[in-house]
This record gives sequence, C-alpha cells and structure tokens, in this order.
Amino acid sequence: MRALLPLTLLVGCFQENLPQIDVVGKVVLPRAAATRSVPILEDGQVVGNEEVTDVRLVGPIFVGAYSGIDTTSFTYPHPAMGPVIAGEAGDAFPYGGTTVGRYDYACYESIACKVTTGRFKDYADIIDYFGKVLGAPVVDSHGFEISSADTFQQYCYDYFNITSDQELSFIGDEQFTENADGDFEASFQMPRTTFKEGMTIWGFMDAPVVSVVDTLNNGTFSTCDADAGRDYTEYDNVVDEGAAYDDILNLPSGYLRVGDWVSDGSTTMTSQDDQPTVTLGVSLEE
Amino acid sequence: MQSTLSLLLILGLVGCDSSGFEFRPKNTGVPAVVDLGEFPVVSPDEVPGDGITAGVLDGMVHYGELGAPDPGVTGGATFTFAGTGGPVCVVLDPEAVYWTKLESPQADRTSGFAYDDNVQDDADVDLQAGLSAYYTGSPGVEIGDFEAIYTDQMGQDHEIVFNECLQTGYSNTPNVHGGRGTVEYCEIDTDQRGGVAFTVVVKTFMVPIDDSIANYAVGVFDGPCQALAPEECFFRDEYTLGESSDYFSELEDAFCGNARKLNNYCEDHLEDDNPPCLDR
Repeated sequence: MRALLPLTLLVGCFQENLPQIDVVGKVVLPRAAATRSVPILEDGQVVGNEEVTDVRLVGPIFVGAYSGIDTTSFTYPHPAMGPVIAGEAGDAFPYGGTTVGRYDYACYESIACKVTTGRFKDYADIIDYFGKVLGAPVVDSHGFEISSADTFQQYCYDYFNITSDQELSFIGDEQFTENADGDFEASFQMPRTTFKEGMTIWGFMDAPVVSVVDTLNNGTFSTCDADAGRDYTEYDNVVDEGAAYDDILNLPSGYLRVGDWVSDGSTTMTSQDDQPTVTLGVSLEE
Repeated sequence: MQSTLSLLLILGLVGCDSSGFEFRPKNTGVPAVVDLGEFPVVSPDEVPGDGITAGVLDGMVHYGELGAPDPGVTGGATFTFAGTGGPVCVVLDPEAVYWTKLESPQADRTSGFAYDDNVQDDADVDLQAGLSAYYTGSPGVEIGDFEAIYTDQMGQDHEIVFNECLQTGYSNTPNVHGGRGTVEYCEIDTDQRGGVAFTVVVKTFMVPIDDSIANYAVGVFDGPCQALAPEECFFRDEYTLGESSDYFSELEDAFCGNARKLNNYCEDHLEDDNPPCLDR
C-alpha cells in the first residue's frame, strides 16, 4: 500500500521519450483525381461515355513517412530506396504509414477488393456506384444482380451474423469533404511513426480501373490481393474476401499504375508537432 | 504459509520421470559446420521420375550429415554454385518424413493417416541462399547469414536481408521454413548474374532426438521450381548415412505410396523397440 502511493503520484508525469509519434495530417486530392470518364449504359450495353466527378471513384490512399524522395529512378516522385536486390526495386523503408480508406469486404464476392471504407453512405450508394457509374453491377454468388438495398442489407446481416449497420465499416460517414477550390480533403493519422527531423510524408491514391469499353474489371485496384484476407466457406459458397498487399508502402512502385495520383514529395516534417498536408497532385500518365 | 505453498509445489513435481537430459544432443563426432565446395547445376532432364535415390546423381547432388553444434553455436553446411543466367531451384530434404493424423491427406492418398509419426527420428534444417558476396559466414568454420545494415539519408539504420531463398507458407505467409523432416525449396533468379557465385546455407535448426545426427539431401537444379515440383519424395534415402536408418527405407516407401500403405506399415511395426509410428 505504501509502495503504491508514490506510483500514483507519477500518473501524468512519465515521459518515455520514445522516438515514435502519432502523425496527424491531411491529404488533398485534386478534383481531377475524382473525375473519370465512365460508361453510359443502356440495357446493360455500353452506348457511350461521360465525364463524372464522384468521390466514390477515389480509391484507398496510402501515406507513409520516408527518409527522402527519389526523383530520378521513376517518371514520378518516389520515396528514396535502399539497395536494389535481385533486380527488384529497393525497399523504401518507411518510418510509418497509414491509409485514408481501406479495403473492406462488402458481403458479395463480386465486389471483393473493390470497396474502400469512407466512400459509401449506404447500400444503395454501393449498388448505384457499381451498377450505374462503373457498369459492373453487384451480383450474388449465383450471378443474380443485386438491385435492392434491403436484399443487400439482409444478406450482409446473414453473412456477418450482425444486427446493425453500425457494425459495418464500408458504409457510413464519408471521409472526404470538398474544399473551397473544389478539391477533396480528408484527415489521416499515422500512428507510432519513427520521427526524424526533415522526414518526408509521401503518398499515393490507387485509382480504380474504369474502362468505357469493357466494364468487366471496372472497380478493381492494383493494391488489393484477391487471394488474401479471410477465407469464408459455407457449404458450396467459398469466398476469398481479399486484402491489401502487405508491402505497398515498402515497394510502392510495384503497385502504381497509369491513372493513379502521387504526391510531389515536398511535404516534410521538421517538428513533432507539425501537421503535414499531403497533396496528391501528380497524375501518372502513359 | 509461504513455506507450505512451496512444499506443495515441490510435492506436485513428484511423479515427473523426465529430467530433460534425454533431449540434449549427444556428441557424435560428426562435424557440426561443414563446407561442401562448389555444386554443379543439375539439368532437370537427369532427375528420375520416381525421385532421386542415393548414388543416382553422384557428384551432382549431395547426401550429407550434420552433428549437433556446441551450445550457442549455429551449425550447418554451406556450398556454392555459379549462376546460370536464369532461374534455378534449390531443394533440401532433411531426414526423414513427417506427418500428423490431423493433416489432410494429399490428393492422391486414399484415406487419412491412422497413426502419428515418431518425430524423434526427424531432423529440421533450414535453407538460405544469396550472393556469396553478401554472405557473412566463414565456410567450414562458422555459419553466417545474408544480413547487413543499411543507413538511409536521414541516418536511420535498417536491417537488410540479402537472402534470396524466400519461401512462402500457408496464406502466403512470407519467409517461412518447413518443419522437421519436411522438404524445403526455393527459386533463385540468376538473370544477369550468370557465372556469379551464390552461396547456399543448410542451417541446422534441430538434430534428431534419437541419434543427434541430421541427415539431409540437397541439390541445385536448372529452371524454375514449378517445373520440378519438389515434394517429400523428390529426394529418397536422405537418411542413408544415419545410424538409425534401419527402418527408414521401408517407412519412406510406405509414405511415398499412399495413406493406406503407410497405415498398414505403421500397424505392423507399432511394437518394435524403436517404432517408426506412434498410436496415440
């Protein structure tokens, strides 16, 4: 009891002096990154295309803290890399990392690896995005199109054994808000990041595949591994739920594709209290 | 009160008939660290369809043994090979075979396993390989690894592993090793590194409990591993040099047949002094 008293007095006074901090900041995505040419459909057939701006077209954004930027090895700013081993791009050795939106399994395998959290308000929003925007409707395990939000909800409740939408991460509040310039902003937190004075905060947005000719693969992402994640089996319904690859921030060049957006690498942190803003202003083009 | 509790705990130990000393490796005189020199890269055309047996590819693959290292010392074997300019497959098989009743039988087996493996006769050796220039050990003297420290432009140190022998496990778990008695293999791309020396390390993870000598077979084969499809019966007789190899040949034959054959073999030898299988 007597030993406990001094310990109680220490509450709130103990500084561990760890080199890790929680970085809190913001990503800014140009309006152009959420603007894509999408197919116009009639009776399931592509009859043309139109340009739309839709925040649901924003894929997961990967943000990392790095030692610096390499502007010579690629056609875009890339984190500085360690030695090249066996011909592979070098590891960028991030000090920490996070995402703005992550892959989540939205009950149907047809949209596995295609749904990012923080992009959809409700079930109807998902049905609308895949059916009307991408031309690749949500279908069940028998190939039947899901057009009712109630059906979607009921199937999710059965699949996950839940009783409330609050238990699902892929619907709810949207992460992005439109700023005065018409661009989109979202906050991020990068927990337990090793702080080095002058370190660079770099990130990229994995844009979904959107073809106005063949819509079959619309909505897929290069950073999602369809064979990973939870395996779900119920009788003859065998599902791979998909998950992000585990070395995206170490080897980003392996995942970047034409259409993705990266930051220019100019965001640095000189103080642990800095709140960096990462603007993904560089578009990867052919 | 405390004395009573202590006494109770000590009394609770009565009945343990194991001191643990039987699990200590014996000093067999077999070297724990060896260097095997340079290996040729074997053409897959020379690999027999029913597996490589001792003596068939003499001088091209190696059947060897490793003794238990002293405490605190890493044991193992090393050898080199020259890059071909393309993919090569390194295959290592420690003695002898391993299975459990709980695992699913392989596709070509006719039923589940009825008995458990006697694990006391199995060795576990792990495979690593990379450019010889990055190898930190002294061949034949001290086993090393392929690790180095890279300091980035901010002065932060990062450990880099130059081991190119990367094996994936279930659910794509990266950088894993097989367990006791289980074959290990990996593909190394020697593109643009033809003629460059690579070092392979057969690192001793565990010598068998029964004789303290880890027998193994190892070789380097031209081409991708997918074409070779190495599995437990790719190398046969990998226990040839071992002292307790009296039943291994029959056991491996039964294992490489099917589960029913293995079950029958086990049933016939459950009462042996040193049984190859256990009924638990």
